[in-house]
Amino acid sequence: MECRIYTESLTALMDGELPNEEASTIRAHLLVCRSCDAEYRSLLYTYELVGKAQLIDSQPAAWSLIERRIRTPKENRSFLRSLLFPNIWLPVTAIAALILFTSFLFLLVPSDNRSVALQQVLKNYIQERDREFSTKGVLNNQGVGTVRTVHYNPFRDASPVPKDNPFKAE
Amino acid sequence: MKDKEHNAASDRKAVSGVEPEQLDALVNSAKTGNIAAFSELYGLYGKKILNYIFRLTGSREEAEDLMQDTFVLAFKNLDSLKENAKFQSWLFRIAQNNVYQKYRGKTPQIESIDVHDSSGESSSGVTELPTPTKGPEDKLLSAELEKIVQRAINELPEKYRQVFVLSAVQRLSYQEIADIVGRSLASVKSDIHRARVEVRDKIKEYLGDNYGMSNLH
Repeated sequence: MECRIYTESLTALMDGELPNEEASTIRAHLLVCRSCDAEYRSLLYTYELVGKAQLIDSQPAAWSLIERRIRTPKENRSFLRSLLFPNIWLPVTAIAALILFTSFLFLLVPSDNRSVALQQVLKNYIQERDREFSTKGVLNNQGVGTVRTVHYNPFRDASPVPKDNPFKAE
Repeated sequence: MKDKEHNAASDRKAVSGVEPEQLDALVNSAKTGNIAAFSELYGLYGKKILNYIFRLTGSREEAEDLMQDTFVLAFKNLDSLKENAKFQSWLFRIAQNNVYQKYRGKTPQIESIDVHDSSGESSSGVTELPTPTKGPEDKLLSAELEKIVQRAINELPEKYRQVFVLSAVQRLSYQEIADIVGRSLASVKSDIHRARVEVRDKIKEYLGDNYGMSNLH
């Protein structure tokens, strides 16, 4: 159990990442525990081995490529261009295009057909409204009765002539 | 053993970065749009970033491209860096995110590093650092070792690969590594240890008793 605790800190000991007190404790343990000492040596050996891994160099033109990419976007974007094509225009253009497209579609439909379509919609609405009656259960003296509530249908009156103004003073 | 341990710890401190004042001045200057200052920062950290990405992806071409992306992105977002002292960690984090975005959770198709062919020429594009005292046998050993080490790193789970490369190859401090990967110090410490044990076991498996590794248990 003790060895397990120490072995988990061996790498940190090697890397100089342990507080002095803890490092001293582990070193003292390594002096008396052959198993942990062998584990430590093998890890240190691996560390040195990996340290010999070759480092690659970047190509000589790497910085030139980076510099070009850094410089290019700002220099080419003139003031006028940034004024005409700021980022905000993209959503505005998209919305305008959508409105234009919808209007265009609407205009494509012949006016007669449009009128007929509208009248049909209204007719359906009227029929639906006429069918809407709410019923209430009302107790009368003899038992349960029903009360029919009729919604006023302003479209029922087909007369084109306006009625007299009911609010007109007599 | 204590001497070796001291050297290992010293290596980490020496490689960690530049003088804080110099770094602060360069970053502040770069933040004002000074490309020359940023060029100096590239000179200081470019190779580290390149090798970090190279170890994560196993591909030199990918590493070059992603390294350039990293520095371009870094320059454009310098204002978001609040503490100049954490420039290195911040840069590594950008590099890491670039690798993630490129592969989006998929394991990169890691190419194996070629060994030297019969003529002694390397086809991997790896520049071998000049070592005049090395004989032909040493060169062959290094190439084979390189292959084995990279293979061991490739086979690590992604979580362990990152911290392993940052600690054992880049030699960063644990706190810097924790900042880069966005995990706690305790978690990073534990992962580094597990990664090293796993790499040790894999190298031992590949090399066996060769090259003086028989002392490994």
